[in-house]
Amino acid sequence: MSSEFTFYDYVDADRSGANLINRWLKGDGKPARMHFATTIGLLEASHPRGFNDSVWGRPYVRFMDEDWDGFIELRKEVGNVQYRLLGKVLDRHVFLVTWGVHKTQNYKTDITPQTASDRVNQMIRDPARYRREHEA
Amino acid sequence: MKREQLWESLHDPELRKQLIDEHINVGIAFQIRSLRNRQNLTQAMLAEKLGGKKKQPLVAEWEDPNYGKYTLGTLKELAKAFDVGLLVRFVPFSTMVDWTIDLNKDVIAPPSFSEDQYHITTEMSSILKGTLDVDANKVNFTSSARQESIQTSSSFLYSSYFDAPAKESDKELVHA
Repeated sequence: MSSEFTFYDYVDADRSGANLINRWLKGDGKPARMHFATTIGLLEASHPRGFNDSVWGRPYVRFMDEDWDGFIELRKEVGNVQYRLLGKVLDRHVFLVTWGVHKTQNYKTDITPQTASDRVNQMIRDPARYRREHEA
Repeated sequence: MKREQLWESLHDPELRKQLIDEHINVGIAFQIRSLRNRQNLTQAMLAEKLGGKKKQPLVAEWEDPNYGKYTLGTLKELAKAFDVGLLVRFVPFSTMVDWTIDLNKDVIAPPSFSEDQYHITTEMSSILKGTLDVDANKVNFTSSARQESIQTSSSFLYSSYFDAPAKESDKELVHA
């Protein structure tokens, strides 16, 4: 295996101690679970943006702007519901920090962009406590 | 991504179905985009190879991971356009897990026949010149042993194809 990227999940070390991304994928995010597993497997093996064979871009990955500038989003639509995973790419690491659900014009995520940035910083500063290699 | 967790999740039949769906939806879409990129083709150029610019919107749809309605005819046309092979097989789920975890760029966007042929002929040429990059620490492959190995392989190939033991004179021809 030649991995270009590694995806990590945020672990809520200060409260529940749970892998929050995996917990969501096993719960509300279950309809999109294998979509994200397959997509992440492919992205981990793909060249980053700038290479001619890179697939880091739409429709596979969205680079966000405005409040979420610097973050990326993976999406999967099932029925009328759009499931999203949000994270940040730094070098060859992707830090998944939260999820989102878009349904009938309403977008819902559990944290603010500031909290998302704080989580990324925790994952970088204290990897043993706050992050785990992505669990499908 | 961890293999154990992915395997564990497949104890749920709904997730097994999802994995099959997504290997087609996401996997094929990624492969089409990656192959097109690897071969420096625009969507319009690929459409031309497939028979006309009218097909350009279809190419965009095929590259969308939410499309998922590929026919075998379409896949065969794409394989011909990219000049790559196509396998459609029933496999154990462990193979699907391997394909999800152990990916690399050549699996996602495989080389076309001409690139493939270049790799094979280069490797054969290296073997014959004795310059194949073998791990010298693990294999003490002397020049004579390598030559013997080539002769044995050639002999075997000759026998297999012509259903008769290779003769000494034929061996010389093979290695001339």
